Amino acid sequence: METKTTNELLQNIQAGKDEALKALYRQYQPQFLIWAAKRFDLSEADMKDVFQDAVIILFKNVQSGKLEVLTSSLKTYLYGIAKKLLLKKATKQRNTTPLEDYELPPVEMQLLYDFEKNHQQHLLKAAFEKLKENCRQILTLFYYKRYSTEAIMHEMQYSSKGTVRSRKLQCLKALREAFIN
Amino acid sequence: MNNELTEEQIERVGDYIMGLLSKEERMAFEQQLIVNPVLQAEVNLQKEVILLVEEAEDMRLKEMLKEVDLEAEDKAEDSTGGRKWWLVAILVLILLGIAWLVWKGQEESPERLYAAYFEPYQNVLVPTVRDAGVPLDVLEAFQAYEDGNYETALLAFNQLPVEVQKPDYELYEALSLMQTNRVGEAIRLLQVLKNNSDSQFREHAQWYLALAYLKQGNTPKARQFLEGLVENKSAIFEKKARELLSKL
Repeated sequence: METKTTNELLQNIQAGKDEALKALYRQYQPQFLIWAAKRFDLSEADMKDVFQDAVIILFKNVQSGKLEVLTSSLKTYLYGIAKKLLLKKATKQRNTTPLEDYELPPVEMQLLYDFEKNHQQHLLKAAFEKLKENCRQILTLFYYKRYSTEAIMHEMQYSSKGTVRSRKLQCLKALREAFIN
Repeated sequence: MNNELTEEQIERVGDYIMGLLSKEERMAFEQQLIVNPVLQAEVNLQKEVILLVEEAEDMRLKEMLKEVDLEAEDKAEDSTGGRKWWLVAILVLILLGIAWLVWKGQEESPERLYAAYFEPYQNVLVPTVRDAGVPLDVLEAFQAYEDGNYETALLAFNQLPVEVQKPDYELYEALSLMQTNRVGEAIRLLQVLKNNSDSQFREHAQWYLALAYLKQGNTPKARQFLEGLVENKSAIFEKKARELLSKL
């Protein structure tokens, strides 16, 4: 029973379902908070924050196929990420240089938020936020969820693949103008 | 070279960065990329778009998980909601209790009543002007008493020679003792004074005994003396005694 639901959970994560992310979070957060409270001098808010990031990283890694997780190792892998993030946060709060051992592997580093954006990226971001919802959706489906043009057509109920293509080009155009200026 | 890219080129950039091109297509594309800066710029743009959608998606997921936490907190709060009301009710009762005690304390604290009612009795015995009839020692003692120098007054009272001593002086000595916090000694003197049939200050002694016991926190004793004053219809102290009794 347990294996079956965990398997189902894993499948849903692979499919990128929001509910799977929530389920993952609900299932493993309480135990993690207890574990972390004993070992780290961080506030509960900080620990929750870290665990949210960890769950999102795992979710994305599994979904993108960058990581193949077996049902049995789901929890291990999740806690592994969370632990590394915790160490990173705790080290940062103590204001010391992070230890070499605790450096995150490249894949995870790439997925961590990057708040250091240059001016051009700020403009681009502002332009992205101003895009119409269906523009953001079409770009998210193509560049993030890696949907094919056909899959996007079905998902967003466009009449043809041509419509999807021209819509995508229009959306990119709005961004390009911000990017160049 | 044309500065504008064709729609097909733009689409190809997308396929290229998403790894959707075959090996041959990719190599051909990369050949164009080397010589076409506009194409290169488009690659950079679309790579940025990947980061943007990723960041937006991260934020959306993060908000979603925060929402999960909030829902959990709400649930926890609901389940303790009933208990919370009880806690509030108990807290209010405790606060009321404390307020009542403080109020009671203010009303009835013997110390406070003592402070409110005690005042050193005026010198009605010895005119503190130099007068042939009054020995200098006595004059000094009463002068100090009137000035509020009770330590000095006590010293002077103690050193009075036996021949100039009068029982009524003891009231002023006792009051000086009370003013310098020697209540026990004051009580002994006042007791003597109260039982001295020659004294004109027997009622005074009773009144100040009541106050002295109040100062010691001995309310029953204080009440006893006050009731005595009321029963005997003391001309000077009956009214005050009734008033004070009502507050005990």
